[in-house]
Amino acid sequence: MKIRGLGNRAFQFAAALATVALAACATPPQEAEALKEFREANDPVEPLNRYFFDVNNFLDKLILKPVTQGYLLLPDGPRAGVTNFLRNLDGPVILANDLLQGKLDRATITAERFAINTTIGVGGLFDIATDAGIERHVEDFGQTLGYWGASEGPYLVLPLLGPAPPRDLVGRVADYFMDPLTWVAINSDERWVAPVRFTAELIDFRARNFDEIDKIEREAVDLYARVRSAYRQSRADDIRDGKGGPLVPVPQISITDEAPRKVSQGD
Amino acid sequence: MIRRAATGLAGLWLLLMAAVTGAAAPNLNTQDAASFIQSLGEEAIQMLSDKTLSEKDRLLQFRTLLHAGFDMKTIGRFTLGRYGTRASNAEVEEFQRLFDEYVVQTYASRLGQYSGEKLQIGSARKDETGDILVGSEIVPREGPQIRIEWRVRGEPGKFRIIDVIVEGVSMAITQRSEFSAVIQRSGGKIDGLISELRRKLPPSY
Repeated sequence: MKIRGLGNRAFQFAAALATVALAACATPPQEAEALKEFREANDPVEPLNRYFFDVNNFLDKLILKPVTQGYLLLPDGPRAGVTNFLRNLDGPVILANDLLQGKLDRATITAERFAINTTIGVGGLFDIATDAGIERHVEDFGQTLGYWGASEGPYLVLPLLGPAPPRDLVGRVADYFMDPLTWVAINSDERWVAPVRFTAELIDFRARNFDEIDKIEREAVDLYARVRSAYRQSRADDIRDGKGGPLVPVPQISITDEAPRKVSQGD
Repeated sequence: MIRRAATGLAGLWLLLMAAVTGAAAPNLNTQDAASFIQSLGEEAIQMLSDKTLSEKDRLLQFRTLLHAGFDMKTIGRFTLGRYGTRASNAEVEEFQRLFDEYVVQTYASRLGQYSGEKLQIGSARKDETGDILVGSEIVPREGPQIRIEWRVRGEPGKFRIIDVIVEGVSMAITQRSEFSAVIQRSGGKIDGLISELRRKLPPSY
């Protein structure tokens, strides 16, 4: 019943979004080279994406950043505890996706980490496993889809969620439903769990990257384009589990600066 | 006579083959590239941890190190993508000058933050493009390590870095995406990017 309610609202939201998206569609350029570039950017709803990106940035300055500044007044110890606790909660979902990708070694690591940190690490507040040399890795259903060959799809930015191209958006929804914590919360009618966890994750992330985010914002000549490119590359790297990917050719030019060779474009 | 010539030729052939395969042996150049990164890293750490340096001197040293280690022209060219071929020489030159300074200023704000991180060089491999990728990790005093790959071009004595790939994110590609977006917004002309870069720099540029 609850889930149907949720699905209904999600559907309405998606329908409304699709309408706006169609209206906000960028017109493909005419010129051949420009058209090629347009397709490679794979960002057909860029104007809408940029709008949501700005909205998210605005909300960051209005709420998230000031809240995080307050949170940063806490000493390192408690904050590390929060990070560890939130990461430990991800354990079951990471384990499920390790298994869905058939990576038994990594699944074993995730299971060990979860067992150790939940017990000796006092419910996940302490990352004893890392201290013992059992290092953390992340998997999610978006990565699982990518691992089995699903392409990312056109770039998409959503309010509050940030970058969420179709593959990763589907992944997030799937992760939510495969998480045991979701079902515990639903069955015990504790509706606060999901939003509180989401908010805590936002603040934790913002706090861990506070200075770096400020710097990037100051440096960037087009923050949206920078984030789009970095997001895609970073996801591709996650899917490869950090193992080297193909290189984009960088044109040869000599010190005398002759005409560069043709570069194949890639994002 | 002919036979001797033939064996002589065969000998020469063998010698040549040995020379060719020797030159193509991957570990020779890749090892050199790895030690190039190693020594560049050591120099950088020495500069960063020298607390007696004034901020100005440190920036000066950083600039020297950047130009000794990085092929800024190739990187700049790459970040312009297809727009670089259309722009006039004067425009490209002006862009290169500003891009160089932009990179210096960008990293200048990070120079004071050194807190004992170490650079651990990993394995190096030659890519199909002919460039050498040197793997490394930045190891902080505590917390997770950061995986960095250095894309190196050239030969021993003349190595230059043409890209830095941090946790799978190529700085050159990211920068090119960003610059392309700015150029597109100004109707495909790089003077839009030039004025944006100028806006990010102190007024003297």
